[in-house]
Amino acid sequence: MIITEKPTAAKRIAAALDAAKSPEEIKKGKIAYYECRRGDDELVVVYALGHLFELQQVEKGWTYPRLESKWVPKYEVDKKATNIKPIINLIQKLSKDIDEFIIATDYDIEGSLIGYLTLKLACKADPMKAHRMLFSSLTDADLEQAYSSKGGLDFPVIEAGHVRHEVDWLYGINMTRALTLSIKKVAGWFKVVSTGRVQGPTLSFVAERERLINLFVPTPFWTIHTIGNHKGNEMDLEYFKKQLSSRQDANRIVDELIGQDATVDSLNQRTVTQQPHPPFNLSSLQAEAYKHFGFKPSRTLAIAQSLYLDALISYPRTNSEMLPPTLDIKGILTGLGGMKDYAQMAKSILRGNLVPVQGKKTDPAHPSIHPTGEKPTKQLSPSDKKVYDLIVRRFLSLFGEPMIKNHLRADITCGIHKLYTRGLQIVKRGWSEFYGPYFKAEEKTLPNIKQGETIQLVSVDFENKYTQGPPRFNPASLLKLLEKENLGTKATRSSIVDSVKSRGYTQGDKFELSTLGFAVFETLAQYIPDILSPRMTRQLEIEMDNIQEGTEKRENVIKVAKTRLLSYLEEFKNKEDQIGETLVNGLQRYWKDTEELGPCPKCDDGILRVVRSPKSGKRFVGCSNYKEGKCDQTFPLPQRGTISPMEGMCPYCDHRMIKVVSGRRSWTTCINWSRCPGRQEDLKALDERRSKKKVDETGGQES
Amino acid sequence: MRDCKICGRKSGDEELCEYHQSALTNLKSAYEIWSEAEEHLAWEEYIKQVNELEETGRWVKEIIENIMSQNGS
Repeated sequence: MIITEKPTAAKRIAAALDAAKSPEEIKKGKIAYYECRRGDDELVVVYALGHLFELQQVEKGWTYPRLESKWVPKYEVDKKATNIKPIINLIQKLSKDIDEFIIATDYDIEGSLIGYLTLKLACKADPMKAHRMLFSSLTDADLEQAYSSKGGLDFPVIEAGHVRHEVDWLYGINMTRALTLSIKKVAGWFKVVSTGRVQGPTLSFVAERERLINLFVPTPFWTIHTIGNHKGNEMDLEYFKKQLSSRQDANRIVDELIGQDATVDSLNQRTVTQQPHPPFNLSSLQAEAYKHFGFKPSRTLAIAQSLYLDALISYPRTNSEMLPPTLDIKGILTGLGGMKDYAQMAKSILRGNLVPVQGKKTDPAHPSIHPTGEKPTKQLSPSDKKVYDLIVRRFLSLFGEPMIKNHLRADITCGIHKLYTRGLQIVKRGWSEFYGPYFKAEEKTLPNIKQGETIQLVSVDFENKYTQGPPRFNPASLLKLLEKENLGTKATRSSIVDSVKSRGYTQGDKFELSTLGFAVFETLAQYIPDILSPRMTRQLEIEMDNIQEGTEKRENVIKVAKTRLLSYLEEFKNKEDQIGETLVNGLQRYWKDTEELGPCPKCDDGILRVVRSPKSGKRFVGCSNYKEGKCDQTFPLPQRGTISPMEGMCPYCDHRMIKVVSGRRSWTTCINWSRCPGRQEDLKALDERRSKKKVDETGGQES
Repeated sequence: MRDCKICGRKSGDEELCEYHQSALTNLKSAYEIWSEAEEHLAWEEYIKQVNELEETGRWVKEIIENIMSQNGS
């Protein structure tokens, strides 16, 4: 029996290992398994759906501390996981006639643990006798090689996976319950407020940045703009000091330069050679996909995972920026050469030296992310295509020649003042030709001037500017910080970044801390600052790495984690009332900020609030007096995106303004938008756009 | 135990919580930079200008609004 992690992987593995490349799919209701034959071996290929088993507390009660846990089928913990039961039953049933078990889940901590738990708890097999297939892509060649060279299970990796789950479970459930129950005790409300081992420090990074933004006082500075005239040609010149700190200086410099003649002092050229960027690892792929497509890291990971399952790219959860010498580069390039978009580039690379540029970061399990050269067997979705193209072009660029750029600079003097102008000339595009749309450099020619020539300064003025506060995080920059701080793993970071937002701790595309996020941060910072400190969780990461390397024991790490947690919880219990009060105040501020839209225009003494219909789940604005039957005022709301009340009123109808943020788009409107006299034109245009879209989608069949 | 006169957070024995106190300190120290940058800039004119800037932090704006309301402007 070969145990795989997902249905797609099972199908691909079965097809790769079957001698005739046509395994038999045996359907059992909504699920299936595969039978295939390879030499004398009869193989049964089954799949999990990620984790089939989850940790559950041993003692009863939604309280804390709860320190003991056991692995149980996922559907016992998560009532929605009804699809797991038939899979476990099928694996159990098929296991009875099996003489050898092979784990073929993803080659990483989670994959190893999924395989081990399935083997032990569903198959009831002896892990010591089982085998492990290790592969970095789902191509036939890699899978056949992994099957023929299969070894024993990677127990230290499994142990590390165990510890990560146990520690995250311990901190997650206990701290979340402590926070939630403190609110219940003070106000009687049941509002789940969560934190966790990595979520706490992540929240603290966002909160610390927000503090700096909230405390920022801009200061003024001035820049000088000069236009020079040389033989009838105008050119922009820059003043040597980028920023002047007083208006008086700026005025004086303008007066001293205007209408004067300046002299070209020197012309300099600096040739720079730029090597290709290193191969992608997961975080650099996520950063680049965010930069070019606006995809949040978790979306990029999901797309990369699907491209991996289609055998189009290698395993994406990797830290490596290196391609191993054993990789069949020629084969990959030949494969890419068969695809229209990459044929020319691949053929030109194949004529040269096939030595890729390598980065510095390594990963013991997987190479950097690279295409496999397999042709897509189905049409890729637009998003999948974008990420695939980025990966392929990055791979191709590794074989490109260095790019050569000339940085040009002319230094110009006018009395005591120095000015300059710069140019950029790309002499040889090299690798950037392959990287194509993902590399941008604007060429700028230097004006045709010679040393000693005169330039007349025809226009000189200054601009008053202000210093900018620190920028808010975006998903990519927060992920990068987690990686730099060694918090979480390459597989978990993007979901941690998402969780800060999905818990309501931040709002908008940029990570603007919400009042709720601030309340949780403030509470933890005041009463249990250690839970926010990256130091504690980073230490745990090191200990888990040591377990993986076999230099630390799981029991020791768990024991220390429990002792530490117990001391936090004891401290928490002692201050439960104060903690609850701080959180309740924060929650009240949060609800006021996010849900209250001011006095009701109909009944005057009610408050307008964002509410959800219990029947349809749709949100709308309703009056607080509705429940008492005193007021039935409602306004419709857009159903997508985050809504935040604004201070101002609509200039057309005097109703409250709101801001809607959906994805990277944001706009403002009033709550009365459907009837507002100032917005009818916009509504009409929107209707037209929608009708046009509908016609485009149906190919005009409806008209 | 007192409450911050701006946001109502607990502020110990002080009039302002730690956030608004820090905002006031920043506002005062930036006045020195502004005074060197702009000749004869009065405090009232300074805070008015800072309040109008989009980049100014939220807590700083709240402090300014409080000062302005006290001055009756």
